[in-house]
This record gives sequence, structure tokens and C-alpha cells, in this order.
Amino acid sequence: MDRRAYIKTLAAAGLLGPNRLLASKANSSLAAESVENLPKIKGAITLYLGRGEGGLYEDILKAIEERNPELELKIRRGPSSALANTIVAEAGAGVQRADLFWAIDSGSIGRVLNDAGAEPLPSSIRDMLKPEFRHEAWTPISGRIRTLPFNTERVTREAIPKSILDLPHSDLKIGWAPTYAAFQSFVTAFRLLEGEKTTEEWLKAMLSKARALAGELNVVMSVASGDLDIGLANHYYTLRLKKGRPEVPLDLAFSKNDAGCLLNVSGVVLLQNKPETELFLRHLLTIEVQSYLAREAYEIPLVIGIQPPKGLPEIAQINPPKVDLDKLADLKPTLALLRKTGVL
Amino acid sequence: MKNTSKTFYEAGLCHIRYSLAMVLLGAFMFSPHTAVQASGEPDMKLVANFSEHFETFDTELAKMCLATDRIVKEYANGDSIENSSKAWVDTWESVGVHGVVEVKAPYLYPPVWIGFYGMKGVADKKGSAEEMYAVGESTKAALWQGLGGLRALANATSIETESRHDHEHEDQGQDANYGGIDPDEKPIEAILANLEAAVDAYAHNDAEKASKIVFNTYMEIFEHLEGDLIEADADLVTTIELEFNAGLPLVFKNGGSVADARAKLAEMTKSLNQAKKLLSKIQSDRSSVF
Repeated sequence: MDRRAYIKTLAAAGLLGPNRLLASKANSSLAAESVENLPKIKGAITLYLGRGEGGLYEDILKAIEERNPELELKIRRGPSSALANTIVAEAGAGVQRADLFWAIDSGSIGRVLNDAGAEPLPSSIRDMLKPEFRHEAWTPISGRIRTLPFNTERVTREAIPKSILDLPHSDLKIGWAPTYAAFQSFVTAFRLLEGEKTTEEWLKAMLSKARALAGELNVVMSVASGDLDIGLANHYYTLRLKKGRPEVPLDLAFSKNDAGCLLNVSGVVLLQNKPETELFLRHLLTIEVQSYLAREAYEIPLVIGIQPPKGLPEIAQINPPKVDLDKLADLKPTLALLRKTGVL
Repeated sequence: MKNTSKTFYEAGLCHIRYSLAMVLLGAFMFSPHTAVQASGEPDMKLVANFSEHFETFDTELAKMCLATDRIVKEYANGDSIENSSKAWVDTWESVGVHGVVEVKAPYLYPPVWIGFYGMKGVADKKGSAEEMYAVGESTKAALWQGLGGLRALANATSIETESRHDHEHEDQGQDANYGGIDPDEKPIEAILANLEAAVDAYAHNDAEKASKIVFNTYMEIFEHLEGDLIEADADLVTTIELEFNAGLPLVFKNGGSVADARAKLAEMTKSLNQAKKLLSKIQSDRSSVF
């Protein structure tokens, strides 16, 4: 069995999550490195790049190319899920065109690991990540977390339930955006953690309580204006709004160890292990790139020693749930449940 | 459509009887990394307007069939098929229909490659000329099946009978280029071109297609821009989100006039042009990566 087949087998057995294969290796850690200490990349790399975060990923790639004039970088762009399908189709035909796949969601990564296979990551890359983010066959690059933005003039932090399960039973005015992909990933994690029955009951209870809005920015804006007390949204909406309007009475709360504080990530699958791809991944995990993602995109750095974006606590203090991120790709049962309950 | 395609895919797998190991061996012997490796992305302008190019696709498919027949013939004559195989890959990588099938009919894309590597597999295991002929015919069938899938799609047939639920799920993975402008190069221009395409579709009595274009454009292009805009002008982002979700789609849903749709489009154009100016300033003010 070759290494690629080995990874597929592990994926099929559900053994690719963190804290499993690598639990015994979690003690060996490497400090984040500066790009100044990296050798130059020489050679050709084909990257399949999932579209996301405006031009920020493009800026990073351009900067890497400028620093490495002997790197020949071919980029194929598209939605992450479409590129994942292409990689799977190509693998099924015995063709491999991509060396790396950078996806904005872990669901697309799971699809590739399960159906196309990947190369094991060198330990020099894995060990730069915080232990809970070390995977056998792909490397997370940055994260975003589910939050409970609240209006500080209408509600105190202490009045906010610590469990997402209790939210519909509070007397708070709540907003959510059920059509959003991030919300649907959250409900998928909810199903995985709490089971179908509990999720269905929670959705029904929330339906009679929460106001549905077109997007998560609308949720955060409605909380900031005082139309709502609290909302469900990814963290960066609040941080970005606060940056533009520091005076708004808005802050972030987190539930404890449940889907309400799910941490989802973008990441790269290593499809061809060669010196240039390994070095390219090390560039993405440098102090400079990780800090840039935190500073400009408000994304959460996942390498050791890099600070989260301003306004967000360290992940270790938030206590997000352990979810097999690869399984967040399974949206169909979630959509069925959202429709069954009348949420969608 | 999906089930039929999958059946074909599975049938192809059954028809071409060789082991996965043989396929991989054949693939490596044939050095796909030089011959097949990312020689070019699909031409998205062509993908967006594929239904206008069937005459060209017919010609391209005929070329592919000749390339397939050449491999079969050379093998039957006892000659090496190395050059003709390379020519097959080069031709397949160069024709426009390749990228269109890959993007628009992804379930019909793998059988073409499977057919080709089937021919390689027959050669590697020194199979008979009859086996090579049979696999060659399967390859040609896969090529025509791909084109048939595109014709079916152009005619808006069985795919449209799937549930909206499935549509919404799949649509999120589609590349939102309906107006022929690359969203990675010029995102706001691509959005405006897509919205024009949506209103045109509505003017041609296809409200469902029009709504789908607006939905995909929002999900695949605008959603990735809004992060930067929130800091600069959160109210503008809220306005644009409402226009995407409750402006044009409601006109389409409620059967409004084409003039109503064009009026909404004019409002969106104004908002989006304002967003473009802000994005340009944000980009020029941005800190450097290294």
C-alpha cells in the first residue's frame, strides 16, 4: 500500500483527526519561524486555490512569488468544493495535476482526503502547529470561530447562557442567519455533537424565538443597534465592525465546549510531497504570513506563538468542541433538518 | 441526469477491466505530470457561453475520436503507442470542450480519462487488439457522452427536475461566471456582468435561472469581498446584501416587469461601484505581507 492509499485508508477509518494518531507526538513542538530564515523555493508548484477572503490569499501568494523568483507557481482558482470535486475526479482517472489544495473550509478538505488521498505531512510542518491542530495529511492555515455577539448596553456577559442548548430558553432577543454557509456548518457540528433529535428540538425552540436575517453582518449590526440583544455569527463580523466603529456597544461572548463556539479552519492538503511544496507550506506558516492573516483578515493563527486578532481571546481560553472537521462536509442531512423544522 | 451519469461512470469502470495498480503504473510510466499537469484552466468565458459553441465542440470531438482511433490502429499494427498517446493527451488538453465538460458536467469528466488510461492499461498488460478496440470505443463513447451532457444542460432538462434543495447545495460549489469576466481578476465587474446576465435571463422568461445567477454571484463572489468593506462602510454592505437577497430575487419571484428588474439592477450598480472605490482604497492602504 502506498502512502497515498494509506492516507485514504486512515480517512475511511476516521483516524485523521487531531489528538489521535499524533497524540503521542504532541510534546514535540517547533517555534514559528520567520521567512527570513527560510531557503528560497526553486521549482514548479501547481496550487488549486479555493476562493475566499477577497484578495488576501492572493496577496500572500504574490508576496511568496516575489521573494522566490525561481518558484514557478501555477494557480487554478475556483470554489473550494468544486476544486475538491475536480481533484477527486482526476484521482479517479489516475491523473494528478495539483501539488497542493488550499481550501477555505475543512469540508472540502475532508472530501479530498476521503476520496482522492494525500501525502503525509512532514513533522517539520506539523510540529509548528498548536497540538490540537496537528493532522496527519493536511495542515490548517487559519481559523474562524462561532460566537455570540451581544449588545453591552442591553445585556451583561453574565446573563448569557454558557450552553448553546439553553439559548432558546433565555429571555434574550436573538438573531440568526440560517441561509449562511457558516451557520449551516455550525448546525452540522451541532448534529455531530448532540445528535439529530436534540438538534431538531433546539432548532424548533429557536425558530419560535430568533429573528432570521439575510446575513451574519445584519445579525451583528442589529445587535449593535439594540434591535437585538444577542446573535449567532462568526467572530470577524464583530471585530471588523468594531474596527470601523469603535463606539458601538458590542462585544463577543462564547458558549462552552459546544457547537456554539465551533472553530472551523482553512487548510492545505499536500498532494505531492517534494522539497518545493514542503517549503511552500513553511512559508504559509511563517510568523509573517500568520500575522498578516490575523492583522488583515482577522483570521485566527494556528501556529505556536502568534497572537490572535485584536479583540479575540486565545483559543485555549475559549474551549471550542473537538469535532472531526472533515465531517463538516456532510451538509445534506443538515439542510434536510433545517427544511424539516421550517428554519429554511 | 446525475444517476444516469453515475451509472455510466460505473459501467465504464466495469467495462475497462484492469486493476487500480495497473492504472497507476500506467499513469506513472506515461509521466502524466509533464503531459497532463495543469496546462491551463478552463476557459471560463467559454464555459459561461458554452451553449453557443456546439459546432466547435463537434469538430473537437471528431479530432479526439481520430486521436483515439490512431492509438487503436497503431496498437493493432504492433507499433508503439507512446507518441499517439502523447498526442491524445495534448489534444484533449487543448480543446475547449475539455474544460467545459470538466466544469459543467463533472460526472461525465472522469470516464474520458478512465477510457484513455484503459487503453494504456491494455498496452501495458499486452492485451489483444480486440481489447484495445473495445476500450477505444468506450473512450469515444465517454467523449460523446460528455458532449451529450452539455447538450442536455443547455436544454435545461432533467437537472432542473431535481429538488431546489439539491440545487442550492450544489450551486454553492459552482464557479459563478455567467458574464464572461473573471471574478478573480475583476470581482465587481464580474458581479455586474453576472447581474446583467440574470436580468437577461429573466427577460427571456427564465426566472429560475435568473435567481440562480444572483444567488451564486452572492455566495461565490460578493461574500468574499464583504469582510474588507465592513470596516470601511458597514451600512453599504448591509444595503448590498439586501439588494442581493431581497431586491432582484423578489422581483423575479413576484413576477415583476423587466423594467422593474432593470431599475433594481441600476440601484445595485450604484452601490457596487461605490464598493469598488472603497475596495481600491483598502487595497492601496493594506500592509505588506513580508
